[in-house]
Amino acid sequence: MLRIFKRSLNSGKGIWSNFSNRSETLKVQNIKPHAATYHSPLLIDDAFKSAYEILQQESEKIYQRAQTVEKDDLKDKLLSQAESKNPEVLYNIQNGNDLDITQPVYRNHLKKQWENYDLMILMQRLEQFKVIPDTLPTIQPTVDVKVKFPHITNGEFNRWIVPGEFLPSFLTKQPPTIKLQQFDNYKNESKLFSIVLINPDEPNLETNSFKTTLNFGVSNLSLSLTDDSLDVTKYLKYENGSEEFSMFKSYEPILPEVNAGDYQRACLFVFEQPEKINVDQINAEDFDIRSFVNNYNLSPVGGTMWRQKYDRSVNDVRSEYGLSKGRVFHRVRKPFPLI
Amino acid sequence: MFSVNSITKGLQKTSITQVRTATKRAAGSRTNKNDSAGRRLGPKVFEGNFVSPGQIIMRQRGTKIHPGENCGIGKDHTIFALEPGFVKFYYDPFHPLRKYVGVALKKDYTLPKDHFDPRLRRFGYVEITDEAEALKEESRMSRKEYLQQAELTKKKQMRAHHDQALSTTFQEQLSQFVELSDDEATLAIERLVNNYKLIRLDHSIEDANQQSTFNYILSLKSLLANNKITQEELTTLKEKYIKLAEKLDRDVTVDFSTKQLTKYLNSEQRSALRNDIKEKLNGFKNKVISSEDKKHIEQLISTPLAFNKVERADLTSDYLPSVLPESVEETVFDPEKGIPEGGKVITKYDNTLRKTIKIGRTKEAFLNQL
Repeated sequence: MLRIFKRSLNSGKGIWSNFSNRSETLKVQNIKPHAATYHSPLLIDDAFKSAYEILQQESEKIYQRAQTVEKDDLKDKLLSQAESKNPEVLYNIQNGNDLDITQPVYRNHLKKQWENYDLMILMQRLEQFKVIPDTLPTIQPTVDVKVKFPHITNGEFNRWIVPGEFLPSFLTKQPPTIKLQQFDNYKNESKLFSIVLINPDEPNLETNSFKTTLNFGVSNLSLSLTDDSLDVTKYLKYENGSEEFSMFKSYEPILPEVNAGDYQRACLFVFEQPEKINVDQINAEDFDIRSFVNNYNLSPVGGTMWRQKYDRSVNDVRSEYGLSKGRVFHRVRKPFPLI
Repeated sequence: MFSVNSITKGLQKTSITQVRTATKRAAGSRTNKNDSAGRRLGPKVFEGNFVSPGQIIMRQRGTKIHPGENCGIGKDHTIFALEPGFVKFYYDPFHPLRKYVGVALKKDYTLPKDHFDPRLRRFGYVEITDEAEALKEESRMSRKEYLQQAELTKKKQMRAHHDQALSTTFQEQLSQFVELSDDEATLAIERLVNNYKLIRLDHSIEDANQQSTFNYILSLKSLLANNKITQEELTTLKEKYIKLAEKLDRDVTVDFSTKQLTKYLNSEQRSALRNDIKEKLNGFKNKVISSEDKKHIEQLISTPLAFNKVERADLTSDYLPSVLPESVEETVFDPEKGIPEGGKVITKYDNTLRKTIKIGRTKEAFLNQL
């Protein structure tokens, strides 16, 4: 690892030493002062030096090619390729430093990392818990959506939630911080998003079936690569009237009733909007997400889910939101057919 | 000459008698006799018939028919209904070689459903209308939950006790930083306690401040929802609180390690403080460290608002390692020339010499024993 600091010792003239057009974040960051000492094999430094020169020359060629390319996605791919073998970049990636998402090389790395784990987990949970097709027919996420509840003072829940896990009601009583990590926003533009949180497991006693409730709805939320989350700062701004987005349904937590099924699914979806929309006449008590998506011409780009069941904190949260006491169901499921 | 007739006559006269030789009897009569009665296999209900949960739809050997929607299968491949509804036999495009039987929850509902359509689901639970019974059902606990109660209560009490202790310390110290009326002080202390809890979980000071404000606004909204205050009162209380928060945040914050109030520093001031401390710490690099120095270094590292938990741990391992590096010459001696009091001889592998060597370290080298 120490070898990468010899950037200046190698001619110092190559593209990887030139930071006039390249971002400073491509430099090695956060060097650990007491990194384990590494004793390099004999003569490896010379070999490293020549390898470095070759890779650097290749990188330079790719940069030149990238200048001639018009298409955004191809250009982004080339720019990422040009830095993908830079030892400094690799050091930053390996050491888990905060990576600069605006740099194609880091963005592509994060995308790959997301696709190889988090996306797989998400799709598994969405399919196994039948979120798709119970809500939307299907979804192909392109945006990494992460959720956490920052108000909590209990260390156990001070983290991003894993899709599908059971969350207690005292945790979900406040609107979550939602982070949208875009990967194909090549020019770091602001894009408009809508977010909905729905519960498809609300009992409907009239039909002896279920209905979907809308628990949170936000539209016209402008986010970019760097400004990527809906958090307390934005909620506060909204409360103070200097709104940056519109809220067509203020947050109301999912509060399962006693014995109302095994669990209720909180499904959070993120949609990209083609233009600003004005959402009105929403039936939050019996919400139809498919027609909502059609009506406003939205394209689903990401989502996440968690599960909730009745716990001892439900009643407190109910009273906080001024809701009446929840229904209590008999714990044995009866064989009455669907109406 | 013999005529043909005489030969045939002769043959007619000789009768052919069958001879049994000593061979094994013909086999096969032993197992074939054991025929059992029919097992009454086959469908028990037919297309469109109504079934209740648990009702058997099909008895079979092997899976002639597979269990489809709302159906289960037993250990002898008996297919039974899981939900009340109407029996439908169908093919599933995902498994073109199988026959399925399913239970449609509605008579006119066809199976299989379209892959992308939402499922039709039955709720099936009945509301308890009797209030006393409902209360009883609601307070019913599983054994696990019941056994956890003692610990949960204890933890709750401990948290309350801890919060109380924090509030008392903050109350004593608050007047050193800002002048507030009694009502304001109560709110301020509540805010600072919450801030402390958030900062302890690695929230930044500014984030914690915002979260506490948001908490208060939500608590006001909760009061409004319960008709305890009016909309106008909410607005005035909110404005009042935001002003108080601004005043408070400008002057005072909490140090997470000592749980004491301290003067607020903005991010630039904090980074200046950090650089200043690092510079001071560098003065102790490659030197013998006395026990006073050690205390001083510890104090510098734990300066309020300067470093978070991880940074503190990093700095401690850098500036107060358990054993000083060998670059501090005063702590190294040649073991062949005698060992000073408290000194230790350490055997280690030298990479450049490629052999094990012995190095003497004086007692000052061992910071963990200071």
